[in-house]
Amino acid sequence: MRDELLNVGELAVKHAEKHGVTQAEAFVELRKSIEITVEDSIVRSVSLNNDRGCGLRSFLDRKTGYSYVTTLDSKDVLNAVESSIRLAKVATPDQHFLSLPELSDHFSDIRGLFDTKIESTSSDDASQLILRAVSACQDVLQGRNPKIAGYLRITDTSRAIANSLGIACFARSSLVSLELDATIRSGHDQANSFDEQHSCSVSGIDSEEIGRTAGERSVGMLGAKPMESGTMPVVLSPTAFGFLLKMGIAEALKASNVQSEQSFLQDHLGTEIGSDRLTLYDDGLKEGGIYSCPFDAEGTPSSKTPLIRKGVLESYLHDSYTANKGGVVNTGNAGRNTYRDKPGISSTNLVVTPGKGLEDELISEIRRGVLCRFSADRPDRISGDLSAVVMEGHFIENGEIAHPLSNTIFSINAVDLLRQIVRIGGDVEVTELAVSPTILVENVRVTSG
Amino acid sequence: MNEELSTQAIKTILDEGAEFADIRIERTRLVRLEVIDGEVKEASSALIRGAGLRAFLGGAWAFSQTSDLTIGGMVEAGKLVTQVARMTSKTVKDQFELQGPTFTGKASHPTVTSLREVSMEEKVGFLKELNETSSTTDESIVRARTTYDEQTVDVFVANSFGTEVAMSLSLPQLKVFAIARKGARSHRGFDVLGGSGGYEVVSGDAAFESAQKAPSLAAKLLESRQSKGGVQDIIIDPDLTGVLAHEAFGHACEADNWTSKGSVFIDKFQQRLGIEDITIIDDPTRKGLRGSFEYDWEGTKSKKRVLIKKGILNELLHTLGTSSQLDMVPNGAARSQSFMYEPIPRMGVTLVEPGNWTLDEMISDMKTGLLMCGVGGGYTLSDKGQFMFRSTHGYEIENGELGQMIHGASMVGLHLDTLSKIDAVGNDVDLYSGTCGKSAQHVPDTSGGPPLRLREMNVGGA
Repeated sequence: MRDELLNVGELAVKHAEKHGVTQAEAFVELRKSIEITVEDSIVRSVSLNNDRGCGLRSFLDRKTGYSYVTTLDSKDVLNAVESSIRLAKVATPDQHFLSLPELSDHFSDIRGLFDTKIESTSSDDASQLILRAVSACQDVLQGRNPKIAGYLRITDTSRAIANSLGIACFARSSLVSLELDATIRSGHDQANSFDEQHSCSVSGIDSEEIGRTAGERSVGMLGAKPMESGTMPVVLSPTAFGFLLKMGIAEALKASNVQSEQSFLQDHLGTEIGSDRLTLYDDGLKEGGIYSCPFDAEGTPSSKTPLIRKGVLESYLHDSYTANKGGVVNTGNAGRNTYRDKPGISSTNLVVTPGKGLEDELISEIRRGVLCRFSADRPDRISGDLSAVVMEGHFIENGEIAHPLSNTIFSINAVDLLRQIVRIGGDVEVTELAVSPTILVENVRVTSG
Repeated sequence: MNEELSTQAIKTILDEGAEFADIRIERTRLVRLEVIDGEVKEASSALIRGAGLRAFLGGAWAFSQTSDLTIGGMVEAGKLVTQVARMTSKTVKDQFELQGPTFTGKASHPTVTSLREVSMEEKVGFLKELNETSSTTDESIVRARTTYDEQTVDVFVANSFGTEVAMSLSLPQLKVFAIARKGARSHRGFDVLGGSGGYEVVSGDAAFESAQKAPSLAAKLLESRQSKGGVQDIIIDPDLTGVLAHEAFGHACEADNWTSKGSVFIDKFQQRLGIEDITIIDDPTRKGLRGSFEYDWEGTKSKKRVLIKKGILNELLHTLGTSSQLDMVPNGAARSQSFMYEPIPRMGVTLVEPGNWTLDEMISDMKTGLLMCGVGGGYTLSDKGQFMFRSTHGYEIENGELGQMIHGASMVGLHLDTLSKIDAVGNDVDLYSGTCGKSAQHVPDTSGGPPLRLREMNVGGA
């Protein structure tokens, strides 16, 4: 596989060079996946995907053209190379583009990124994995006639990067994602919750736990109602805080957004943007990390970068372009979800340094407040203003969960949210978006009705 | 060639024992150009070529995709997909028979100037002109971004019922973003122009209007104030009406949310959800729009769907699978982003039909509240029956008159409550072009309607 993908990449780069480009890069990928959809507790569809393709970047002096193709046939790939060159001709020269990265002599060996069991996992095995979660959920919800939906994806990804400066690297990784969603009714009341796990290995997924959690949490959401609006403490679960970190804070930390003045964290380097309790790393080298890879999407070695240390902003996330433009070190954060995506900057594994205490202990300190388990709103990119719907959450009264919430929003600026963190728990969870404990933020405006 | 490949794929799947087989063979070209402050920042293209195959057996579906467009490739993918369907069918409890009509035909979006006839140089030149227009619309504009996207799709759909349909789509789209700044304050403006057709869709006077609309809005917002949160009466403009129709009601009418029993509307079929003045339709047969299509991605001829008829939940959006499973009539709503994805129920052109109120009448009939305009993001959760949409701007209403301009207002609601909160439907419909994401698939669409007035909505703000 390694040779097959690298050969396509090197062929593409040579073809571009023959056509007179200054530099060229090929990102070649083969992604095999099994996807299983469960509807109403049964497997409704199975999808086997063999997604292969190539993304090309051609540079003519300082002009860039980009093209991709969904096959690895050499004729298609060479046509895509020529197409990227034609496009480069109409682009504007970018004085800040200096060069693609050069070949590094050191790539870390990261353990736990590829599970060889994936190769022998059949769609039948995969069905059993998700059906065990369904069955655990049904056990919790016996007698409640639950509607259970779920989704499992097992992916085996091989990627190769080649460029005209000698980079020729290859990596293979696996990812198993299982999510389950349970809906129950009681009279006119409908309640719903979910749970999910993501791991590089099949053994990293606990189907039964996912099923149980989704079931128990859906029961906890019965009888949801609004609460009295006001300003109060809000507890964010690892899932809720992880979403904010990945989709809000990490977006604002992308040097591309900072340099184009599209970030509420521009001009904040070296300043306090969070509580001194908060330390956040971007760790592309994390063992078994679902975003780990020895190199980034341009072939630069990945790294572990402190982003926020004790509340102080220490670094933005860079790829070769922004690092060259800013005259700073490339953090190895060039990212691409697939060969079809335009190259850009991505955070990898966002890791919050844990403090002490479990969710219960954080809640026990609150007289009136909100526990937000899930929210999917991101702050405004420029102002940082956040208005977040509590999609799953509870009203806290006298140190205990009082009732589930409906129709409730909390509003706060993202930087104020980081600064007003008064507790960081010790209950670290690995979610899809971050590795984080529960946190407690004070003085948050909550509207409900 | 397509016919030969599809015949082989379908034959293989049926020979292996499936009850139904279908295939989509696609060749799509994408072009994207982006100009920021006079400079071409992105010039990219893509070729999407391959086939998606499905086998149906004993109530279970299996899907597979391949870019190996040869007879051998079809045989291999056909065998694999049927094996998986057979395995999956063993776990299915509620078996059903797949039924559907047969269509043969060809359809294409009519174009005056085909997108491929216009050179890349000409497109870039025009985009730069539009970008310059945006940059110079107001002195507060510090950044202007103009993007051009084109999508030319050739897709051939065939199935074992005998359907053979060839579709050619031509979808150009222009987007304008602008940022205005004054002191420490900055605001964004956005506008979009698109439809189905040739280069003429995005190259006329309307393009220059879009190029000015986005920066004008950003500049005006510099004088706006943050909206106050709380429960308020609101009027929403056609853009937000479109989002409400699409996100809060359209998605809940997609029948895969019914077969999965995840829609909050599930026991409300043929029941009243709102006032008699509210009718919501999805009609991809309307011509020239971004969400227009004559056949869906299963080859079923599309038709006008009346989702909510005079306040009553009336019709769902179906694929062949959902209509068969729910014993309803297929109505051509299956769409997939590309050959790499399975077709699922989707909307095309979703709108609220007009009522009798003028916007002025709605405003003057209101003591205090908000006029909310423009779509600034949001989402819906069909299973929770909850939605949130952000506006881009708006105005306070005091004693029946428009007052201070505001920003940052969002509306939050429950699907089941919201239709009953509508008490006035405007008479002037406007439609806009968008892209809808669901199950990781993005498809072009159109939505809109007249202004609507809603009582006692939860409005998010400062």
